[in-house]
Amino acid sequence: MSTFRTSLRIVWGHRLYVLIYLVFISMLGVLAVGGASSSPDAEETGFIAAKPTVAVIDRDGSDISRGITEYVCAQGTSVDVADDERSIQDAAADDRASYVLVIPAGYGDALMDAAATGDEAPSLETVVSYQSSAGTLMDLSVRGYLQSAYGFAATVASSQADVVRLASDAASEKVSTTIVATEAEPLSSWLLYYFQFATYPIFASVTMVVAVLMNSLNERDVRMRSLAAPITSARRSLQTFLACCVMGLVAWAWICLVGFALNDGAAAIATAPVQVALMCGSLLAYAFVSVTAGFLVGQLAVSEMAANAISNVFGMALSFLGGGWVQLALMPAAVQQAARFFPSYWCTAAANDAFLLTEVRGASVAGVLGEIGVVCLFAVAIFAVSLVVGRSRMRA
Amino acid sequence: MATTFLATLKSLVRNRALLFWPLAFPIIMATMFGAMFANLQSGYAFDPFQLGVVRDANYDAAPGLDDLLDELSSPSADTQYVTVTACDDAADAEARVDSSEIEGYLTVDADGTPQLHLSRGSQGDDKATVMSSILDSYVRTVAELKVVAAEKPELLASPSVAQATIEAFQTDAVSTTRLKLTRTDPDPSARYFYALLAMTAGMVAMIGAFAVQRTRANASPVGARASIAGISRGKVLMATVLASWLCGFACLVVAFAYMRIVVRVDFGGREGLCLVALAVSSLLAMAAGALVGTTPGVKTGIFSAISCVLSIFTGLYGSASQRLADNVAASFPMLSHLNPLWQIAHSFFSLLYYDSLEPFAQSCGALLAMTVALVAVATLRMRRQRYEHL
Repeated sequence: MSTFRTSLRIVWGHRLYVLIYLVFISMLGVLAVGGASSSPDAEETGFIAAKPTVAVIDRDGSDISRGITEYVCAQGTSVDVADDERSIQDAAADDRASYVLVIPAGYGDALMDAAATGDEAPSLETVVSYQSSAGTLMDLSVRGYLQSAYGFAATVASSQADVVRLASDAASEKVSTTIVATEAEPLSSWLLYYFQFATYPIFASVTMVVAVLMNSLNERDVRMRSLAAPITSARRSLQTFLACCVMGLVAWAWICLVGFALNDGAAAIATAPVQVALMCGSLLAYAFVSVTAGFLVGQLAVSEMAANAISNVFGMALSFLGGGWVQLALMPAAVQQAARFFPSYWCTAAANDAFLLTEVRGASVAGVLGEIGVVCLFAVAIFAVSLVVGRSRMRA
Repeated sequence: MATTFLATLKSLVRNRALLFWPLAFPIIMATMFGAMFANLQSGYAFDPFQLGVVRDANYDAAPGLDDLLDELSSPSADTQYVTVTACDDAADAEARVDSSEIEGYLTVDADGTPQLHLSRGSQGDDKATVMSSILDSYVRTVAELKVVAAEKPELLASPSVAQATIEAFQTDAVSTTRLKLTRTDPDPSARYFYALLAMTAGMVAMIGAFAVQRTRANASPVGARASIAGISRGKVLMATVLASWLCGFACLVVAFAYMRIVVRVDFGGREGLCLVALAVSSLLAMAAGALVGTTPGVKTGIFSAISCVLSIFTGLYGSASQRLADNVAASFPMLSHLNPLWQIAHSFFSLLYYDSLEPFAQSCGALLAMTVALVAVATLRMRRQRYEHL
């Protein structure tokens, strides 16, 4: 097993790549998906609506403007924006606030007067985010509150305080919303987002290190020395490939351990073992795709710098095409079709379907296993190509 | 000095592996982004929510609910918010949710209150939030009319009076107006391209590191040759850094031109100033490269790793990393401002969105300040280099 041990020593010699591409980027992935998903506790209690970040600039200070401010802040996460053009511009450009509402001076009185005479109230100024529909939805919601305030002012309320009380009471009436109970226990969406993000650190780190390992072993002097050793070519190749697989397994285990350690993995395994196994299985298959991709890059005998570039470019491209970073539904139909020809798509689809598994039955589990199988087939195909490339290089 | 400059430039241009990162990487990724984000702007429009409705006696008795859903599901409306599927009962609706035929279903309880039951996949979903808001609005209207009925029943006494009362609660006399504060309409995909250019600038530092490393007397035969040439070490370094800067700047300009001309990325019509930003960015990259180049044992590949990590904070890796970047910029602005890739991406962003050139100048100023700091450290290191053996 000296080839195996030597291969592992070479991998260990390049641990900086593992540290940066796997450890750092996966930890940053933890931070990134932390803000993108709802907490597990929240999921157990019911539906959590997407909440926008909101800011209100109240230049009026009346009861009605305070009522509107309270309503808007209760609908979203409130952020402070100073009352000057540059600050509002910054908030809009940086998307710090998905919805900014400016209430002009005298608005409360103007609304009461307009309701009494049936005229139009002055318009409120808004800045609505371009990043999501949450800001647009917030605008509709504010219009609903204003209509309610106008209606009460025109009918039963006699003062601004009455209008705010009645409009706020009516606005607090909400439809009861629940999540449909499923036979299988639900997993935290955090885990799904984290696994989808992890396709990049796995691919970049494993492909990079395996390519560097293969390059080192294929150096002329090293190769001549190994060919002279009393070991068959098949055994040597097998030991090298085992070392590559160890790298893949280490990357996969790291991603899974971090995911479970930070998200009550014991509970997830206890309540939804099949879904957890399938999600981990999809990532394991992807780790093997990364191993074979690294094997192929190594066979091409490119420099360490080029291997670095190839593993990163392909790692990023695959993660985008897999839909783990940006929803595939937002992309053109042609891209969605093209994505099906890449392993990351099937890995993400398998993780997503395993997460959404509502009942653990043969047919539903088989569907996810089929997707994992497609990922494995990609690994086999890339491995076969790398063998052909290796053989043709040896003959050349 | 001119000879060293030309020789360095030639050797850099001939190094294909070195130029792969700053040339091929942005072109490949920009092509992919261009294809992927072709309809990102329209992607933020509402998709209809697939709603099942349990049509029982309670549902039929809920005033106006059926009319509301008819209106919202009309394909001829400006926006179709919902598609409605009739379900026999709750069990039938749940089975349809399980089979992903519908995303949720609606029931009405005995006192006329609607209840929305959503699939697990709808958690935090915009469409589900829209559906829930629409039903909130219905429940609120019912509550408003109950208040009127309790306090002034005469306002609902006859159909015509009641209609006038309802219209007061659905009036168009209140409105909101959208302000346009930025120079151009924000484009969600522009952010990806700016972050990509910033990452490319980070990669360009490899050119500087490679070139400066070669000038070290014990690092390569070229370095040994240069160290005994009849010009001072300062001039050799100056010529090397200038040649690598020109090479790096040219790579960035090619990437920029490809994004602007082929992928048609919007840079706000300020292409000249974009070139200034690229020149400053490549200067910073060369300073960082020179610093690493003077540090024995550090590989130039470190820049790709560092750029990958810093790019998370420019939002390159999709919506989750953009939220992280925004949160860090809002909560710890100093961290973002110290990130050179964030400053580079922000300089393009400033040109697109702000009338004033002040934010752009601030970003360029920050990049130049970082350059000066890195050059100072690199110069100190270069001056102190001594070789026991060559």
